Amino acid sequence: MTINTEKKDGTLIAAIEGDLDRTTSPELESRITPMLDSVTELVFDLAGLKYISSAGLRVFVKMQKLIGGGKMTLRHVAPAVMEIFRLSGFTNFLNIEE
Amino acid sequence: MEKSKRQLVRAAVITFILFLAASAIIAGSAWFVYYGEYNERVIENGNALNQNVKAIVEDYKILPWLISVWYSDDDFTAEPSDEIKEKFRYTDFSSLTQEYVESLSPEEQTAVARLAYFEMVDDLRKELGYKALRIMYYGSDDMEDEGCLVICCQYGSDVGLQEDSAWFETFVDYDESEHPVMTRIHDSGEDDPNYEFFMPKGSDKTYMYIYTPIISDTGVIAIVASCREWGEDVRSILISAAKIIAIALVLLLIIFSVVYFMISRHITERTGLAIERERQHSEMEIASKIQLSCMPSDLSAFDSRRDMSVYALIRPAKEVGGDFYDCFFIDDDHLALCIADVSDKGVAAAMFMMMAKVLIKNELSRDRSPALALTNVNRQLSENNDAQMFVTVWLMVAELSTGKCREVNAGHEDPAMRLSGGEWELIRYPHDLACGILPDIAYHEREFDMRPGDTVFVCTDGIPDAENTDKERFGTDRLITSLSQAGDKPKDMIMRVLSDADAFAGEMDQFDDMTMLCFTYEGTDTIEVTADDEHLPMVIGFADSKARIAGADDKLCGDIRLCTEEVFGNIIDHAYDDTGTAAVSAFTQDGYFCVRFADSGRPFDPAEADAPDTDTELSARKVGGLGVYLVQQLASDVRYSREDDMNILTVMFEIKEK
Repeated sequence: MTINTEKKDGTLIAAIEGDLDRTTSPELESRITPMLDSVTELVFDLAGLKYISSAGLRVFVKMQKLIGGGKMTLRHVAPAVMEIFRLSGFTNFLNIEE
Repeated sequence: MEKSKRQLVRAAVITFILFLAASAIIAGSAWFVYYGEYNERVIENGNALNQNVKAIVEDYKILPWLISVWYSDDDFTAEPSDEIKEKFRYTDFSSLTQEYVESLSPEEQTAVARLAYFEMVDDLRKELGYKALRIMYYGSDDMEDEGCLVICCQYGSDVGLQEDSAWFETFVDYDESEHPVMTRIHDSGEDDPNYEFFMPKGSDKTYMYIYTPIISDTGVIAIVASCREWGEDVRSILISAAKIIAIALVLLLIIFSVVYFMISRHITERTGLAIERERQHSEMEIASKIQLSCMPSDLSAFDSRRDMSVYALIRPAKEVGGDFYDCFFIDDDHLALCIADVSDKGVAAAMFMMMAKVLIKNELSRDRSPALALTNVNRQLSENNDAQMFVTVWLMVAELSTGKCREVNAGHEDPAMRLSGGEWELIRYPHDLACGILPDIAYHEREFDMRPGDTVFVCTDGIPDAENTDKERFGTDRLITSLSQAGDKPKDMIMRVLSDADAFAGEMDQFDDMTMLCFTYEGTDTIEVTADDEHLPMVIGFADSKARIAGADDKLCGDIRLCTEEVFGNIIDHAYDDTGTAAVSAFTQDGYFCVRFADSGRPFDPAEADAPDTDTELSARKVGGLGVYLVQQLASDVRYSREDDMNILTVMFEIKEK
């Protein structure tokens, strides 16, 4: 998994490539969390994300909580990952753009 | 070395002894034969001489008269006056008659007797070649009584007159008792036997005398006595023989000395060569030991495994090459197989080989990628490679839980492969350069999956390059044929190829190392691993490979992966206080692909777990239970049982027929 971040005027864009599983999820959390100060909009570009497990889902739940009043968006979600979001009911709560 | 010299000396001594023995035998037999006839011949010769003397002496008609005159003349050997000599210059004394001499005056009679003596002696000398020596008297002064003329001769020798010789002098002063035979002949006229032996006083030689009486009316008037030194011939023969033997001995000695010298020099040269050979030989032995010590001597450690079988064999050539093979586990799940051939031979090649082997193992333990490992190994081998050696390497890493293999071929022979139930064929693809030539090149690996029953075989060029007496190569076609006719176990295959290559080569010597490695992947339905994150990829890979074999598509494989991660993750997180193990099985049953997890941790039935509230407002959501929920959603069925204090969780996926 690789993470590329871009921060501009209170907007943090994180592009995630690869797999988000038990072993990689903690890295995503530890990378993003310190960057959230004064961030009002958090965007995850998931075009390169091929796989996600519950560990990855949990990171997004945490991020949503951390951003608080801010806005979190998941962008460019691949079908396989979208299916997991759907199954887990995340599509109801997360702001997802296909 | 020294042994040869000793053998030569012994041969020389034996030859000398045999030579001396032969000489002694020949001389002895010659002596025996010769000595047996010696007496007879000496007597015969003496008698013949005596007859000649007798004929000359008896030619003098007035012999009895002459003897009587000489007997009465004290000085009959004195030279007569010139006047007398002149007077009888033309007289033939032998033909003088008794009447004539008696008519002469007494003075004239004495003179005639003296001249006749000289003539007689002269005749004897002329006829017998200086063998007549002296005429003298025997017996008392009274001739009428006992007197006798003794005409002494010597024969058997070429020395000529020996008037001063000891025998003659002593004979002049003879003692009757010393010559009993002569005394008997003189007294009786009996001349059988007619010889006797005598050693004169002051002489160390024995002489033989042979007597012949001259008889007239008055009895024995003269005796012809021949003498010769006894044993003279025998001695001279012995001396000659001794000389010949001595010369032969000297020649033998010279021959042996020359041979000894030549052999010594030859031995010295050969010793030098032998030392050199010995040195090379021991160097080869060292190389051989290095080489063989590098091989995993005992592959039986792998015998107990059911997920694979492996066999390897190296048969070094007489001149040790630099082949090696290796087979070791990088970790629980990854087996490294390696076969290689160093370009050179001898100790340097063996050292290079050892270095290559250690480097490969080290590099693989850092990273499981064979291409990365060889890239690094090559860089290190290429540095300071003054000997310009290189090594061809085939290196494969097999993941036993999944059958995923990665191989690199650095200038080595093509491996051969047989898929389960299929035919043997060579695997051809572009090879990388052998290691040790260029430092900065990247090696490439080929990935392929081995299914249970698949076998890979690889050897060094000693097998295909084996030649028969017609200079034909064994080649890869025969190799493939040989493999096809072999048994099912890797060991059977290797032994078959070896015996076929040997049968093909016939009487040709093996000129290069023959090394073979054969690996059959059997796979496994169950892996048992420590329940930790480190083993998660192995479990996922295992399930994935099994799912693909079972016919699962990418989508289903993704679901299986997710479920496997969730279930195994739960075991990691919750089953044990510390750590424990989990057995993961994958199999197909009744159209369902099943992954079964067994752990001996605390009981956990996912069916009883609270389902996460997927409809709840996010802020109120619990994050636990999500994994189990996803599994239940994705799988066709999830079954739990608790057996023998173990949690058995089976996740089932329906396989849709394409």
